[in-house]
Amino acid sequence: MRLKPSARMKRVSCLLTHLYGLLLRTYPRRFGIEFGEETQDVFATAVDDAIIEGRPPLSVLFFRELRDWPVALWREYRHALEQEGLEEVEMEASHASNTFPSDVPALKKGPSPWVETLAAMTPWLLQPVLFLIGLVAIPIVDNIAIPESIGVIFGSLMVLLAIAGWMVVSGIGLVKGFPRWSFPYWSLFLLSSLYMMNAATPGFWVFGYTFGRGELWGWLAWIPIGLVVVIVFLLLRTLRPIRQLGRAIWYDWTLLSFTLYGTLPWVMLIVYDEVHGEGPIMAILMLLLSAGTLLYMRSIKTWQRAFSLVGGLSFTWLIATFDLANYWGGRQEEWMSKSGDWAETIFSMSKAGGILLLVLLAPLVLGFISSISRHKRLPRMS
Amino acid sequence: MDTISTTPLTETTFFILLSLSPAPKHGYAIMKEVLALSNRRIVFSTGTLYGAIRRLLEQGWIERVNDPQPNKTSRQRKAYTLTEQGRRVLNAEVERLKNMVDLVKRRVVENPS
Repeated sequence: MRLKPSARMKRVSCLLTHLYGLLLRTYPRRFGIEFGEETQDVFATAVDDAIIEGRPPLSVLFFRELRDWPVALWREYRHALEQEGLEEVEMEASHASNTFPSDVPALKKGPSPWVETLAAMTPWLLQPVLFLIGLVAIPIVDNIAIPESIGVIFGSLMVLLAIAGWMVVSGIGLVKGFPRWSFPYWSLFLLSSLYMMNAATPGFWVFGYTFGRGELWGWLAWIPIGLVVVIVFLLLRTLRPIRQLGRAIWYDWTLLSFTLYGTLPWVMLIVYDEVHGEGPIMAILMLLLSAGTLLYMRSIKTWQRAFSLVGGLSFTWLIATFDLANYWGGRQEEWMSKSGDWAETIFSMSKAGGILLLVLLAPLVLGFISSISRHKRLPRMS
Repeated sequence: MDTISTTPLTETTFFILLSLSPAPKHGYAIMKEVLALSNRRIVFSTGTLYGAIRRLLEQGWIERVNDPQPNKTSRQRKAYTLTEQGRRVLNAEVERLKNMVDLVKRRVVENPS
């Protein structure tokens, strides 16, 4: 039955075309630039014709687009990845195979700029800064009578602000194709999400919802990371940052080590669990770790970078070992079956430190494989 | 690339090339023509159609031209037309299908059931 398009149907047509425009924004950027306008025109024309034919053809049209959208999306992103891969191969063929590709942000020559170095050091500098703020603020806050509800909301807002800040910084790193400074942010982000899945934050208030006692975060812990990834990919509409990440790690294995180094703040928190008055020593240890980061970011050669991370971890772990041995030596808490032993603490910490060092250097294997693979591509001298 | 020796075309590719053989067409006209040629059996979504068009452009079997008729907003519309290579591919496919039909006919004549 052919109907005249009413004003209502024209509004439906506009709405559907607008919704279709949103679907189009999920396609790869290149596809959008080349065909976006055209496909939108075609869809609008198809909708207008379907309206004249009646409601069923209109529904069929829209649901057909929706049905084919995931397959078309998969096909176009796969094609975009292949195209970008071919372009990278062409670019690398024009360089000597023992030089780093110039289009990967994490592989820029020379020491990292000071701004990027400071950005990389921030995850380790946070604790000392918060410790200093706490030294000043806590005595003041203790003397002010704050209602508990206000305290809970304020505390929750501070945590949400911190999470939002982390999301923004990590998102910037993703947009820029994983520059060197962003690697520890992502490792901390991933590790924190993993940890929070099995953590409870009773009383934590977020967007009108308050977590109950014993209520674990579960899958909710992955919402911040998920949001960052989705928003960035909707903005960029390319998987290029992921390719750049893969190539960066392939050409410089120390980036993977640096990612693992980024988890050390968490490791320190675990190691200093149940230790009272740990604020000052934790601040010192974080500063030592950040010194390793500083040297890493300012290094030029691969061996210098590796040495910075190994040195940072080793020196920090040595200080922590003796500090903990001194703390636990002869001390017995309620939950302990016997008092702590100096030698036992040294032995346990040394074992853990050795394992950490091995884990930190494990990406060296990848570096070895990558180096052989690249040297095989060097032209043979006749 | 030797286009004559390419593998059999998919239905999507065949019908798009067939729809473009008489004259250049814009995207919506290709959709309508394919719908008619296939007796309403092949209905393209825009994603499927333009994915195929992108592939055919890359293979050099079709090329863009300006559509002589502007759209409702008077904006210049893009149309597509067969290239020489595309026309050869289409002719080769038609020849292949004719040979298959002839083979079936001969078989039926030799062995009528």
